Amino acid sequence: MTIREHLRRADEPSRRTFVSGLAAGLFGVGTSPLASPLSGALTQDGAVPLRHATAKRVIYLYMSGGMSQLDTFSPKPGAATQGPTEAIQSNADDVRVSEHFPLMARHMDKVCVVESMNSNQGAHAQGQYYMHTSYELRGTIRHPSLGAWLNYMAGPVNETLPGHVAINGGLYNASGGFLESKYMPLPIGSAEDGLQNSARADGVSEGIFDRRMRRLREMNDAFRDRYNTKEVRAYGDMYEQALSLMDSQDLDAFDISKEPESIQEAYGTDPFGKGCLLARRLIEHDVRFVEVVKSGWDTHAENFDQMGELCPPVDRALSALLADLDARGLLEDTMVVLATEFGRTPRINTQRDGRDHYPKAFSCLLAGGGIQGGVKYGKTDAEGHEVTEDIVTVEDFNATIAYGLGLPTEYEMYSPSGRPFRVAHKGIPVKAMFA
Amino acid sequence: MMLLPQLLLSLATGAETPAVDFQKEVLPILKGRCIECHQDPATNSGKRPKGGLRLDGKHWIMEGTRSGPVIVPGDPNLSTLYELISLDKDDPDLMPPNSDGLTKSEVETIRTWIAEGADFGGWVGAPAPGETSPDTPKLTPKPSGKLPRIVQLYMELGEGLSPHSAEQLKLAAGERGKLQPVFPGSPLLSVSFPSNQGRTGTADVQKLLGCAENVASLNLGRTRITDEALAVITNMPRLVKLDLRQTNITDAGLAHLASLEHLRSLNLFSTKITDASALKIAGLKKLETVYLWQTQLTTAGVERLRGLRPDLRVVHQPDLPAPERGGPDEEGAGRRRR
Repeated sequence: MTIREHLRRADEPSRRTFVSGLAAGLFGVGTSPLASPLSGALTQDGAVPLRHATAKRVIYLYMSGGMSQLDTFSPKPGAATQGPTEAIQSNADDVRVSEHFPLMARHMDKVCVVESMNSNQGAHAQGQYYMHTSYELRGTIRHPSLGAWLNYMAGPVNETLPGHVAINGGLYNASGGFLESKYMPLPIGSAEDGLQNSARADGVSEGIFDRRMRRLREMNDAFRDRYNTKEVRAYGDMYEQALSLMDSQDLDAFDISKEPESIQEAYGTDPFGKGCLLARRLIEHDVRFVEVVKSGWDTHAENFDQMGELCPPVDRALSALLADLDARGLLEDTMVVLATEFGRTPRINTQRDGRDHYPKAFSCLLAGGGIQGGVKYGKTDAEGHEVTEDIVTVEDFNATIAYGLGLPTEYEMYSPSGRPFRVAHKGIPVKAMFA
Repeated sequence: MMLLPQLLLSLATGAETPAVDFQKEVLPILKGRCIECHQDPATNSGKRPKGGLRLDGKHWIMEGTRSGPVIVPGDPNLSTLYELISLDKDDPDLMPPNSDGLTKSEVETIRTWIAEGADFGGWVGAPAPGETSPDTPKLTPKPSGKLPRIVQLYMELGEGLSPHSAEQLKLAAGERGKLQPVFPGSPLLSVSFPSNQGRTGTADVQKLLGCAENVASLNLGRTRITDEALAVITNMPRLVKLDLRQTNITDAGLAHLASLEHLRSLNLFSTKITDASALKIAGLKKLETVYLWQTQLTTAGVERLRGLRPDLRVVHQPDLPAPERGGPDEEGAGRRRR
């Protein structure tokens, strides 16, 4: 095994976390046999009356570690803070990107660059948690992330697949929180391997398999009768949901090798590119929320050298994703989000040639799902130190995504301990970002 | 088991002691020991409230700090405010600071008040931001922006149309269909067949006849429908969005689309449509976007369509990145694609 492979393996969840995550993820499959024709709007899985939605699904690309805004999508050519990274013109008149995004320069007409992002969290764990949930990390409660809120509020679309999937380790931040475990994402450690162990083992015929499952039910029924609690039932249900997924004709959605070689190459052969391709396949099958993580953005040292390594796979995968979604007509109602916990200091840390954590003014991207492309939203000063116009807090950013999805941002739901929570906390949607 | 004695205790206290009166018992403590540091800067010569916490109004007390609420009604132990007044005397976090703290009975009054649900009675105190009268709702959305364009269109098209009954919708949905209003309250419907598309066929689509008038968005992508199914569509005058991607429909099926005068978006990705349909597509006057990748339209056919309808966005060959070894296509940078 090469070092690279070892590293890749190290990112994968252990067997135990995978299995428990699977249980939680699968638990959400097909739970509403009584779904009415209006189920998305009216049943408990989606008990919340939705607004008009311009987006039905989300691909959430998470740049873990804090992506440098100046070296990616918000360069400040000529400023003392810019460093050696050059800016290039994109196909949108007012938008320039860094030289590391030559492919994305041809697709910025689809993207809204939110340049005035502002967070109050300057540490990784806290910042990631805040970005995903709109709430600060606290010891006493775990908040649901946006993908869980969406599935809770709007209900499932494809009832044979999980509604929430996290690829490349997104499980650490994407979470069902205090919502039922079925809103947790199904974790996929490696996009290349897809969904593992979803077929009958070799040498086990259908007859034997059915007999085993029957026997299992008989044994479980007795136990379930004696200890009839939610937790016990959940484990039984997990088997049933897994069986329904095994039977789903949409299982192919998890297999990126089904894609033509030219498409696989367009997305790139690294884990992030493969993750984005898998995300597109899942979205195509109406999985509602897919997160793909790209880590390594914590460039305290050698920021400028590292950009040459970090950016190209994102440039490739993101431009392939946007072009591919667009050509399939899916970008109309699929929102693509590129988010990170904070930006990096405009001031260059000269000892290490790096940039440090900077939550005060940074950039995220939104595209598709009703978002106006080819524009920048918000302004920072000439060197990128402060937001000068149209500040967008983390909560506002999440509220904007929620607005696109038709989720009412003022709706309060109560946690098991009776505390009220909202999908984007106190965030107010920025409606101006929509076309 | 642990819960029982606590439950009994709370029942007992609830029964024996009258509820704490906020204005008579709690407010004097706040006024005497807390509000001096925890109030509106406007009433405190511009000084910001300590810890970002204001205790001078109901809204502010319940709002808590940047890190969350300080009062959890019914649960003193989860309430930061109670925690900070009940710490040991030598704890540096004890509130009020630089003192021996509140008296035992003051602490107990606040504990009971929270445990009983933190009822303020009629008291409001300093109003919430943006409020002049204390009783107006607290949500004040930024006035920026307008309704998305598509929503405006749906509002116009839905005018005067009556919604279908749940019974009718259920009938039209059949086993596999999913019918939803385009937004709550709208009589217009968005129809899709999201699960097990491979088992969805023409018969499923024909069930929609009963509410065809109201269908504004129809997604038949990846289903097994044939051209025949598209005959139903002639009964859908309000169709704005039609998704036929990855189906077996042909040029013959597209003939049924001619009457759709509101159609804005037509997805024909990966279908057997040929150049013969270019004219029919061009004839859809309100059409804004048509998706034609992986169809049998030739480049010449696509160019012809673009020539006929320069206002139409014809999505054909995507601008996908070239394989890694070839390096980025420098020539293409900055090129604008329709």
